[in-house]
Amino acid sequence: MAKAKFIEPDLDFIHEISSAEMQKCYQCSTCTVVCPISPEVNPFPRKEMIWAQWGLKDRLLADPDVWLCHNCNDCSVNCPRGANPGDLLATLRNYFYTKNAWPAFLGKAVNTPSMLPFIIAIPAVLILLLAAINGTLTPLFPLEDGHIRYGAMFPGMTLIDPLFVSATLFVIMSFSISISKLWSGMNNMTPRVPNKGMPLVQAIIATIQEILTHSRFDECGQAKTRSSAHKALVFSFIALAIVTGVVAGLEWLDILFDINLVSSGHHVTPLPFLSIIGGPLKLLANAGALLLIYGVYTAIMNRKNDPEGETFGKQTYQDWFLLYTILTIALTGLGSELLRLVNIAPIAYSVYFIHLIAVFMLIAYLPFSKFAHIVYRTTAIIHSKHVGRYEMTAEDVKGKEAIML
Amino acid sequence: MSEPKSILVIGGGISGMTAALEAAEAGKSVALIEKSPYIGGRVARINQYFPKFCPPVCGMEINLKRIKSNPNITIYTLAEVDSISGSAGNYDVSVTVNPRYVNSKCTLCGKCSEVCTAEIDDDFNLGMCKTKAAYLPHKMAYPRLYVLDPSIIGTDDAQKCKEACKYDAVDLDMKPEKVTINAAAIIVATGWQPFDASKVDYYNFDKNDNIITNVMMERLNAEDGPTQGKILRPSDGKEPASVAFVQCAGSRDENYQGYCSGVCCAATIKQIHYVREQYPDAEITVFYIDIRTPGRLEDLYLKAQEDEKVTFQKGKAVNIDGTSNGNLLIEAEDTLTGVKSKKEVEMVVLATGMVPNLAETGLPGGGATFDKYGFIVPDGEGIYGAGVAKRPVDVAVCTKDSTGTALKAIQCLVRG
Repeated sequence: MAKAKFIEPDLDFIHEISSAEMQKCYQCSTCTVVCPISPEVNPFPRKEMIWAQWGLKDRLLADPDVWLCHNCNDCSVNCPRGANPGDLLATLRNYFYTKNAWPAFLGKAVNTPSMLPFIIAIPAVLILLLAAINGTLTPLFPLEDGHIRYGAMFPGMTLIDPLFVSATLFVIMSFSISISKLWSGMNNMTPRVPNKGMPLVQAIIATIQEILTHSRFDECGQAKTRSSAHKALVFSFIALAIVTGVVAGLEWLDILFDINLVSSGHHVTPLPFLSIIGGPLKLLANAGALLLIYGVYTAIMNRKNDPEGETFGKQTYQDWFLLYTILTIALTGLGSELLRLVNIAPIAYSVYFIHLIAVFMLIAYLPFSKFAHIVYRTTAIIHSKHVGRYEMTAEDVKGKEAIML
Repeated sequence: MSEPKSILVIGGGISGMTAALEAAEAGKSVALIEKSPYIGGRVARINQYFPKFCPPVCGMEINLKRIKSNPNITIYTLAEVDSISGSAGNYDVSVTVNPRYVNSKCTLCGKCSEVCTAEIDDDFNLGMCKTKAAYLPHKMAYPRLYVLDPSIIGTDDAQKCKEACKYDAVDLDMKPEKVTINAAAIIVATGWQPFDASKVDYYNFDKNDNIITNVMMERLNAEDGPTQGKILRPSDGKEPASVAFVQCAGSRDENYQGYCSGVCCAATIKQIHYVREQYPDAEITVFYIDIRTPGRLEDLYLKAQEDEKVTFQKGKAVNIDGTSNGNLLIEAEDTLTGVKSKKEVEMVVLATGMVPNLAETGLPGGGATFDKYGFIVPDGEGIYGAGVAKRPVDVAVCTKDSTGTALKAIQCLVRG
């Protein structure tokens, strides 16, 4: 007789992630077969459905498949019971953001609608405090030679950079805790198959390729429009990250070594359009902003046009928090540029202030918002390539105990 | 009204025949209306019953004999209900009887069929083959009369049939007739039709001839079927070396048919016998979610499990794709091992369920309550569902149910 196995259900966990729909699952496994991106061995999401019904929290929190899922929703659309496996996996991902990230109180705050004012207030107060320390709050809405310069009120080196660099360090610390936990859990759950996985570096390169081309995402049946919106968002973020990085570098060069590569004036920004470095950067920044608006608008409309979640899955606070944060960044970013040009100081500085708040919320709350998927999913894809998850066949698990039960 | 009130039975399948007979043999006047040209319905097309593997022909023969010898039953074939008015104890049912174009002088000589050139889909054989447009629906068809398909009326073919008949049985001037039946009670035994498997995209049923349904399998194994009882795969007539049965094809699925028809599991095990009898070496795979063989039917399942040529794989078969040699690749996850794979077989049988015939139309004139799937909900007096019109059940349950329903109708008639 096979060795008895003890199942230890976590009843609180069931309560936290369960839905009436999920409990309808009768394990027919239509979902794993209709899913275009589910692997051959131990495919998802059928096993996740029974693990969730049984409250097997440890397995689900170490399960790479929760992240290999791209939420295309083919499983839910075809589910004979309306058990919505796609929604369960989205719920589990939300669980990572809400309950599994360090420190836990921020996970709760970012994911609780009633605490939204509080988490907006954190960056607002921090920015104003830093500005006060810098002495740039008086006079309010300063003009230099009659012109707006955002750095005059929110200086880069002494306000923006310290704020965002420390936020980034905090995010790295938070992720280093959760990712090391996830990685060892995934290794345990899906051990490397000899001769099938890629070396780690190669897996990382292949993952970056997969993300840039959306090759896996494009296989999803229900999610064609989601994939194109997502592509726009990815490339706009890359463009805007390049602009931000280069501008920060230029500013530090200017401040530390007094080398201004873009203008003869005293400051790097606003970038002069008619300069060899400034022109292309400005073009890239504006193109990125427009692409960002297109991407986030499409993503929002996809959700708006599907209020019941029949095509794209159930809508959650996490979805809307991320989408509206990005929308705010896009609109206030472009708005800041336009308002500076029309030179209405109080409104322009206020809009820029909101822009800074929204960017802070995107970066500093990354481990607790849906935006964390860029780290978790990337890690899971790297892991899947490293262990040879998609290359595994029945032969590789022959004779081994099925991990399903 | 001088005539004694009667009981109206709508539907001449096994349930309708049983209800009509039980009431008639209790001395009540019964009108039985049937929309096709013959009575016997779905059961007439079944090759064998489970669990005993006996042919329905025997029972059908006995029932026909009882009907023929009972003067209390009036049968209207090619007849459909237009409207129902009145209430329990006193209904007026308006019925249209469509022309058969063959009268009672027919001797079944078959001359009309011989001369007729036009062919139509053989409805009795589920369209798997053709039949002449002047035809006897099947060997045991009752009434024992040929039929002319309306599509040839007005053509030379019809004229040829008329000229070929030396008994003057072909009457091309027949017109639809309106009949009003006064009934104290109405038994709705309208039965079912097989679920249309082409509604499920991922089976590709309408793209591959070698994917058939369980009801088609009955005809493939029947001597009067399209292959004279040989199980041959439709695309090339090959004797299949491997057959897969796909359970719950469209059933227990809220996207298609939300309920379990209750008979497909036992029917599949019966059809495994069909295959094993003809091809002892054929490999058989059954893809299932749960096998539902309640009561004594469990023995059938246990026996099939012992058969080393039969594999029961847990996990629903989903994607079915054709290969260039006419074979089929069935994709499913074996949920006991957690491995998703594709299995190549030479023929696939989809175990489709039963869809109540009134699901879309309801009862003309109303008077019956239906559940969300189109089965009649037993409530109120006067109009009673019987057999599969009421719920998906096997033949044995249909006959018992119809007997009980006949009693309800008789009570309604006696109360007046």
